[in-house]
Amino acid sequence: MTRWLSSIRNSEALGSVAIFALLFATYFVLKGCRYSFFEAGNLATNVLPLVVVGLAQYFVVLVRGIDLSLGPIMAVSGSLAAVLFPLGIVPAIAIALAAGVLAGALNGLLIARLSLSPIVVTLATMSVWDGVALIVLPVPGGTIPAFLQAVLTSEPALLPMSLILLVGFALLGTWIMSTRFGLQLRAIGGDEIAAEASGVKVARIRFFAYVLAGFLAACAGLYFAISTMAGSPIIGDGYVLPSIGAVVLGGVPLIGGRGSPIGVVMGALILTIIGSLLYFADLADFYQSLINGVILIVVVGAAAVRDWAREALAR
Amino acid sequence: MLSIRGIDKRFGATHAVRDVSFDAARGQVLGLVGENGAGKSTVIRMVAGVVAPDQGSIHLDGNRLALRSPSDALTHGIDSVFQELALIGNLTVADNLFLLKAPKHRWLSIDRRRAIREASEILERYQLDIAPTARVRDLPLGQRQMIEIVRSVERDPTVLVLDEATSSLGQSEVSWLARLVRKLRDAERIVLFISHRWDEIATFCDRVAVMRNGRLVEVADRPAMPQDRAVRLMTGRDTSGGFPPKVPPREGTLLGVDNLEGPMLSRTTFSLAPGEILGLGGLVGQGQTELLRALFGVLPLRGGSVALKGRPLRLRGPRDAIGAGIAYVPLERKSEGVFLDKSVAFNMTFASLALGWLSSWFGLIRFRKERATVAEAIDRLKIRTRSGHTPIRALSGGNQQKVLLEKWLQMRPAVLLLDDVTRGVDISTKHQIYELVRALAREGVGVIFYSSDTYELVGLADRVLVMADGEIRKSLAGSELSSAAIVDAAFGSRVGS
Repeated sequence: MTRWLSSIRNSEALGSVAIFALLFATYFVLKGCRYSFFEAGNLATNVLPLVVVGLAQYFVVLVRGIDLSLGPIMAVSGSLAAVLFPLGIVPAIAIALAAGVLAGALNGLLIARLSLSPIVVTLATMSVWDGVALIVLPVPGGTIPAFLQAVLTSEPALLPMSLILLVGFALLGTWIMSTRFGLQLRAIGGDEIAAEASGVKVARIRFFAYVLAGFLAACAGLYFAISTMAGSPIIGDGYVLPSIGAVVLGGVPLIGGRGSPIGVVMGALILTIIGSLLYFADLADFYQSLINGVILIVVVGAAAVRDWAREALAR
Repeated sequence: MLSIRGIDKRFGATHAVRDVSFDAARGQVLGLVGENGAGKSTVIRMVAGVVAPDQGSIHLDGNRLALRSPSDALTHGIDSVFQELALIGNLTVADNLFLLKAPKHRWLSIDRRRAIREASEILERYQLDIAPTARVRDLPLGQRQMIEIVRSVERDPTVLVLDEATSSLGQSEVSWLARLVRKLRDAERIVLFISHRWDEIATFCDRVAVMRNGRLVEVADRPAMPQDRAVRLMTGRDTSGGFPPKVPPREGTLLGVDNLEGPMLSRTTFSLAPGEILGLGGLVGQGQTELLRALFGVLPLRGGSVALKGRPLRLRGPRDAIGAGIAYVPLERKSEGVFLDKSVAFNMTFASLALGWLSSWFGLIRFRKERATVAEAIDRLKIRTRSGHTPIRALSGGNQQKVLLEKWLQMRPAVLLLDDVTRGVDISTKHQIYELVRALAREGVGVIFYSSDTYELVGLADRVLVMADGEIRKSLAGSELSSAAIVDAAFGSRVGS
C-alpha cells in the first residue's frame, strides 16, 4: 500500500502544493493563527465537489480530451436522487450513479468509438443533460433523507466526514493512476499513435476514461445534493470551468499525458481557499473571478518557467 | 507459415497495394524492398493490423486471421517495429517495456520496483546500457529504436515485422540486430524485414520480395537476387548507383564556425567554402544534428562565433538564420517539416509567403505567381502528386521530402543544412536529391549535410567531418575519404574517450 502512495512524492504536484501552502498560511495568519478541525471540515465540505469533478476532468484531460458535460451530469444525478429518495435510499443512489456512468458512456462512445471532437460532443451533451436535469427537477428541491446528511456531517474517529472523503477520493485517484489502466492513460496522452502501435487498446481505454469521469461527476452531484439537503438542476453550471481550472492549476497540461491526482486536489483547494481569503480580506465576491484568473496565469507561467529552467540546467 | 493471399488496398484515389500474395516459411527472414510509395509499408501495416485490407486474406500456420488493430495482431503473435517510433516519450523505459503487461501486486497496482528490476534484467540480457528509469524522450534515436526492438522480441512473437527498424542505428547496432534476427531464425520464427540499405538486406535475409507501384514484382532466394537486379526490378529501369561528379569548391570562406559551444557541442571549429558539400559523419547521435540546429538558430549557443561571408551572425532564432540566407531541412519531417493536412502547394510556399518572397508590397498573396511556381517545381523535381492541391499526407515519404526541400530552395539560400534527409527515402529519389544538391553547389551554395549512411557521405561530399561526443574528430577529403576511414575515425574516438 505504501508503495503506490510513493507516487504522491511526484514532483509534478509540487508547485501547486507550494501555492496552496502559501495561500493557506496567509489565511491562517489572517484568522489569528488559529485553526480547528471544524474549520478543516468546513473547507473540506466546500471543496469536495470540486475535487471530485476535478478528478473526473483530470482523467479525461489525461487522454487529451475535455468534458464540458460534467457539471450537468452532476445536476442530473443530484436531481434524480432528490426525486427518487422516497422510493428507497439504495435504488435512488444506484440510479443516480448509473445515470452518471451512462452519460459518461455516451460521451465515450461518441468520442472514442466515432472519433468525434471532445469539445463538440461534450458541448452538445452538456446542453442535453442541462435539459434533462430541468425535466427531472424543474425547481430546486426534492427530498433528501436527513440521516444521510447526518452521516456526512458525522465525525467518525474525531475526523470530519468530509475530510475523510476528501482523502478517500485523493487516494482513489492515486490508486487508479498506479494501475495498468493509469499507465495506459498516460501513454495515450503522451503519444496516441505510439500507444496504439504498442498494442494499447486506445479506443477502449479512452472510453473508460469518460465513463470514469461520468461516474465521479455523479458522485459529486450526489454529495452536493445530500450536503445541501436539496437537489438542484442548475448546480453544474458553476463547476464546468472550475473543474478545468483545478486540473490546470494542479500542473496537468491540457495536452494530457502528465500530472497527478494530488495536483488536481491541490488545484481545487487553491480555487476554494481564494474564496475564503477574499472574504477575510473584505473584498467583494466579484473579485474572486479576477483573482482566480490571475492565479491561473501565474501558475501556468511558473510551470513554463520551471520547464525552461530545467532545460537550461540540463544543458 | 505466414501466407498473404491477394491483398488489395486503396486510399482514396491511390491504389496502394494491388493483389499481393506471398509466403514466408518458419525460420525464414523475408526482405521486402521497393521504392517509397511502392506499397511495401502498406503491406506490412496490413500484416501488423494497423490498416485492414479491402480484399484478400492473411493466414498464419493455416488459420485465417481477422486483424482489426495492432493489439489483435499481437494476440496472434505478430509484433511490429515501425520506422515511426512506437515508444511513448513521456514515460520511462520500464513503463514502455511493460506498457501492456506490467507486473502487479495487491489491488491491481503496478509493482514499480519489480518492473524496474525486470526491465534492467531485460536490458542487460540484450546488452543495452540504458537506465530503466530514464525517460524515453531523453534518449538518442538509436537507443529508442533498440528498446523498441527489444520490447517486441521479448514478447516472443511468431512473426516479427521490422519496418525500417535500422534507420536510426549505427553500424555496431545493426550487427547487434543481425545477431538478434539470427536467433529468431534459429527459433523458427518468421521475420519480415524492410530496409533501404541493400547491404542490410544482403546480411539479414533468406528471401527477397520486390515491389513496384503496389504490385509484387518478384520473390526470389537471396543468392538469386543480386543488388543490380533488385534495383532494376524496383525502378523498372537500369540505374547505376552513381553519384554526380564532384566539382572542386571555390576559393574563400562562405561560413566560418569558430569554437562553437552548445548542447552536445564542444570546441567545434570549421569553415565551409562556397560550392562545397561538407558531410557530417560518425555514429548516430554524436552532435551532428545539434550542430546543424545550432547553425539554424534553433539551439542556443553558449560560446563561439559564426560568420557568413566574413560578417559575424547573431543567431537568436531561425528567423535570424533565414534572414542571413541559411536554410535547414530537418530529419523528422513528420514533426518539424510539414503540415500533413495542408496541400503540396501550401507546404511548398508558406515559408516564402510568410517571409514575403511571394507577396506584393501590400502583403497580398500573388496567387498566379504562386500557382506557376508550384507547377514548375512539381515538374522540375518530378514530385509524384495528382496536383498542387493534394494534401501532402497522400504523398510517399520521398515525395514529401522533395516538397520540403523545395520550400527552402525558394528562398535561394547561401548555406543549405541537410539533416539526414535521405533517411527512409527510396533509391531513385535519393539520386534525384543528390543531383539537386550537387547542382546547387555548382551555383555556389554551401551545403552541410549529415547522413547516417556512410556510402552516401563518401559518394556525395567533397569533405567529411567525423564527429564524436560533440567534437569534430577528423576531417577527411580527397583520396583519404572512404567508408572505412569514416568508420575508423568514428570508432577510434570511442575507444579513445
